[in-house]
Amino acid sequence: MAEQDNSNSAKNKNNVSRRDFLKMGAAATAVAMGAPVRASAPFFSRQTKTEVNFFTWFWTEPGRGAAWRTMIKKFHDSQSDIHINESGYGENDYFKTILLQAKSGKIDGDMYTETPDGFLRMQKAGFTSSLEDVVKAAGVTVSKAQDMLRVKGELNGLDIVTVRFGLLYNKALYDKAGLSEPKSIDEWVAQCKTLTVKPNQYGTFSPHVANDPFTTWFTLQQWAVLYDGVWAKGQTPLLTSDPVIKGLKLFKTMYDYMPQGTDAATANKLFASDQIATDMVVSAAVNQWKVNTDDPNLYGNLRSAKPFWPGNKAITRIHPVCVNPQTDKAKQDAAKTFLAWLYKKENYQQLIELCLDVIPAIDGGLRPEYRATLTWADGFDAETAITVPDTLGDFVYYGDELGQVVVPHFQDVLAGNASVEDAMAAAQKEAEALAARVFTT
Amino acid sequence: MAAQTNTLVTAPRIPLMKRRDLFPYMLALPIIIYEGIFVLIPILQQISSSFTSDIFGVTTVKFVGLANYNRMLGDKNFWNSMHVTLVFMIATLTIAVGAGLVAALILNQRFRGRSLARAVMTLPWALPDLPAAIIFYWILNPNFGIINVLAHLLLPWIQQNPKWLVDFNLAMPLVVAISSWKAFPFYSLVILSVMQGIPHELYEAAKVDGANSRQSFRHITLPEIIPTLLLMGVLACIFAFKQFVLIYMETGGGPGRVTETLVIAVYKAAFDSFDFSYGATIGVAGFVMVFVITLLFVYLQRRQAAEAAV
Repeated sequence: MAEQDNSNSAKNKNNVSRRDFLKMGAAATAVAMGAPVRASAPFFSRQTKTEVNFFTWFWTEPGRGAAWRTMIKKFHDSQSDIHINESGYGENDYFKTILLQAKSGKIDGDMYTETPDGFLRMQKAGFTSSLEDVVKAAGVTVSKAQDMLRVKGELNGLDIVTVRFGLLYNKALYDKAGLSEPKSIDEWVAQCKTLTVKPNQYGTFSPHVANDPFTTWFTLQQWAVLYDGVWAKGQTPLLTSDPVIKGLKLFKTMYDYMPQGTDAATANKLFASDQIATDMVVSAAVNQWKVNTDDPNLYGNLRSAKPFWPGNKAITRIHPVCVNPQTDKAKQDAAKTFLAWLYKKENYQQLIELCLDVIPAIDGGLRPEYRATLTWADGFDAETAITVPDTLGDFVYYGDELGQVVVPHFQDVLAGNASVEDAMAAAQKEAEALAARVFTT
Repeated sequence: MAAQTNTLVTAPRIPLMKRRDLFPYMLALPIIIYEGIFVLIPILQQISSSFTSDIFGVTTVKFVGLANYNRMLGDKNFWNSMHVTLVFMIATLTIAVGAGLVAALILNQRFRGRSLARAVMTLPWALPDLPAAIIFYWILNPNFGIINVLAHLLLPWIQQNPKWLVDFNLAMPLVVAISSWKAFPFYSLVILSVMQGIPHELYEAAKVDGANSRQSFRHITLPEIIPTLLLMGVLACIFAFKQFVLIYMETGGGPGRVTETLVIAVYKAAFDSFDFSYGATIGVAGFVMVFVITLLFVYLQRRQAAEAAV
């Protein structure tokens, strides 16, 4: 037995077992892989670029994405210490995803953009930090409208795109019908009737389908503002108030001149192909019709109507960029360096021009020469701004819940199942119950 | 005592892996771990979340006991969702399993092109939900959808295009029809496979005894496929309960709330309002609903097995 054992040992010494072979192979591979690592170590130690993830929906937005890429390339060319990476989702997914990520404790961005209402949630959840030093470094004066982004007097977000509702119309369709810009609500209604030739052309559009909940509620809010109304004051819902009722009745009237049952994305395509004459949209939407259209003359034919509604107000939504305080300090500093560079007057002006934006966030942010080229912007400029918190009161934190109360009842109205008054009376009761629940807990 | 100790010490040790009684458990272990991590823990987390208040960016998480359940029981939208879910479930179950049975009976016959017909029939089931939803969304567009042409051909007296998915009366039947169209091939294939297992001699004997095709179906086919039909019924209920993509894409739960099933309500509470606790609470209600249906199935199956044994 002993002999046999010895012979086996001897045999093993001469013949490498499969296990030993694998061990040796693994060791050799490790050595081989280690060699270039050691050789390139000085390269990596020289690598001091700070990578910053910029989390936003801008990348997927036609026109705006290209504008931002141009600015980031310019920033990269101007220095070699910071690299900005694209991160994010398309608009519809983004707003949900960022809040869900924040809820899980970590977002995919060292800096990120938000909606006005989303900003308030992120701020309360501890995902914003002071950007006063950025403004100081950029040497600019920010607009008064940015006060809604202040926390204890300090800016926690920097407005990077302000959008405002307005009535955009296709001048070519108006000219063809022998019409001129509406001067009153009644005139607008009459024009929409004239301009509607179903199924080829429609007078107007406003989102209204339930599988488009965000856009439907977001736009519906402006219809009450057309009559100088708001949806809530403080913790009191005002769904039965005269301006809200009048605004929704106007929508119901206009519904006859809309492509009914059509979602916003399809309607945007119809507008792009000259099949919708007027559209209550935000100023940032115009950009898409410069590039995504079958009609090369469309952009040149776009105009916005000077406000002809009581109060002249339009909901103005500030979309801030924020620095995530929960990321590495070095990344926060790099993000602030980038923002200070971006907020410098000449860079900001270039950004706003590339994005085709019209409402500047800083003094002197809009060059008069550029503004003169925006033939479609006069109406947007002539409106009086009203913010989202002013429109929704304390419900700004529960904006979507309020929307879920209003929209289903309003769909009853659109279907002819209820009058506006009855539907909003029922909605008011639900909204009051919502207020009682959320504002007392 | 000493002898006993000796016996214990000298007892031959059986290696763990060689104990045959453990082997099945070892095989099942990976799936148990998987189910534990990805199914059981989330369910427990959901149940625990339903006892808290947690609206992201608005409230901090705090224990609220049964407050969410109180709210749910007094929430008429929740009861509407329960009603909508039951209607959708029963309608889809009836139409999808019924159509599946009819298709299986047809495809069980011998005819030329049977294989092709079977392949074509599976297409709706093979098509992913999302493209199917988009196709129907376009077909049913009240302005441009191809269905308007058909509607005017078949119903020449109608003046205007129906509103289809935004019509309060049509939305639910359409969603049921689309879901049933998508699901029936699965039920059909399963029922067909059972039918093909029925010995042909039984039918021949019945024929000799003078049974017509209806009697053959009543006394031979049906008793053989009833256990499968029961199983398909439960599966249809569970699939219908879980249906999200088709409903959300077609109607978003609207118009109003006429197609707002529990799953859509959970989604709206959790991901539109970011009220995760209330979403979890509605989810628990749905879980109970499916659990009861499954128990009912188990009961029916046992009763049937007992009757068969007698």
